[in-house]
Amino acid sequence: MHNCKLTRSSFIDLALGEIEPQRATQLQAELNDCPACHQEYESLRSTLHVSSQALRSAVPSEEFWPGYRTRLHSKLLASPTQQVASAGERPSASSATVSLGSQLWLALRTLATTSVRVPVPAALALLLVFGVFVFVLRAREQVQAPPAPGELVRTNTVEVPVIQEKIITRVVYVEKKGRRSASDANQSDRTGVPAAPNTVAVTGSDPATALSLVGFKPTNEVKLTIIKGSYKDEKR
Amino acid sequence: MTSEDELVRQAQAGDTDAFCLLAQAYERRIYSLALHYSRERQDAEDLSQEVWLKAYAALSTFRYESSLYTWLRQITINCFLNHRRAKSYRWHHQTSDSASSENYAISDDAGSSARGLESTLQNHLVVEKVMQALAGVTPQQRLIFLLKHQEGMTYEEIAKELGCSPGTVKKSVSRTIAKLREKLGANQEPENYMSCAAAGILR
Repeated sequence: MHNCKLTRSSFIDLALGEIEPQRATQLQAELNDCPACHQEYESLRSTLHVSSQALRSAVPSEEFWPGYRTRLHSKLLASPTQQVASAGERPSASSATVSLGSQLWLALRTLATTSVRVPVPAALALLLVFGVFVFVLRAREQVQAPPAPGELVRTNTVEVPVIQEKIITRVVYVEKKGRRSASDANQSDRTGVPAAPNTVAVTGSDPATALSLVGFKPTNEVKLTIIKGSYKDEKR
Repeated sequence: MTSEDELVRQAQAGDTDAFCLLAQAYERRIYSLALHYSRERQDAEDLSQEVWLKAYAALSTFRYESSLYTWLRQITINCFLNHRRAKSYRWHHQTSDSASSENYAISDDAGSSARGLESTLQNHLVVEKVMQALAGVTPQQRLIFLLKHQEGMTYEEIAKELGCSPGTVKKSVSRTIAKLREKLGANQEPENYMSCAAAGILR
């Protein structure tokens, strides 16, 4: 039974002669019975015929070929093969060297123009492995490389300023008695730390340590506080 | 021994003139293949002359196991494939517009005065459409189509030369033909297309 879709799938093979004779005869019979398939096949054949004619007609004109042949001839004369042939005709001692050189030239040219297909993932993996290898090699060189025996080692001393903290402890007794104030002033002199602001030096000989009494107003009420002991007890 | 075999023998002995005579016999076919494959005149000349140089360098390896043209075609295919790999970046950037008619001159036979200006213009139009269709497929598909349609190679022969399966070859041919039919309008208006062809290069 005729199936248009199945028949049309064989049209290209039929038109290009890529089908067995028996099957071709069968297809031709089907084409004769089905006008639609026949028209489709003729359309395909026409396309191929037109394209074939177009390709054949699209060639250079006759004026093109003499120049083409001249250029080819000059290239042939300049080719290494021709140079080898010319050298072979001369019975010179250097012919073997020339032949070897030309063979080397041919081998190099073949090597330079030969390409190998490498899948992109494989190429990337190779690049990655190479990169890791180079990185590890350089890292090892940096870590493990000992200084050479004769290598001059230069040492630089760098002074780094360090801030040292000095902790000063003092005990301040605040009393109204002048004797105690004077002793405080003396202690201040010893430690190098000025006396507290509330320390009142009444009898101090050093004018720098004496506080000014300007604006001082004594109170009317005097509250006496008796403190047992003295600063000498602290020293013990 | 045919005259071609004699020329081959002389060329193998280093006779450049004999090789040039051999080249003259096949130069149009090789150049035509290169032109339709590369779609550029300069590239076609470079490619075809590279084929001849390689053939001349390797002529000593020719053992008469196949015809000279079959042997030349193998070199041609290898040159095309190497050229495509070397200039693959260019193929990606080429547009179908580059297949303009300025790269394809109708030969004098097709453009003779007997046919008239109208016929020549129609030929030009058809050729340009065919070239645009070929520009719309990949270089491998284009090469497969040319080898099948122009050179008459079988699917198996093409597959062997290109290192792919016959199924791939068949699909490539099918895609290129679909592109040609699309460009030539064969799917929509077969009558117009036929009349165009009949008025032009089908005579």
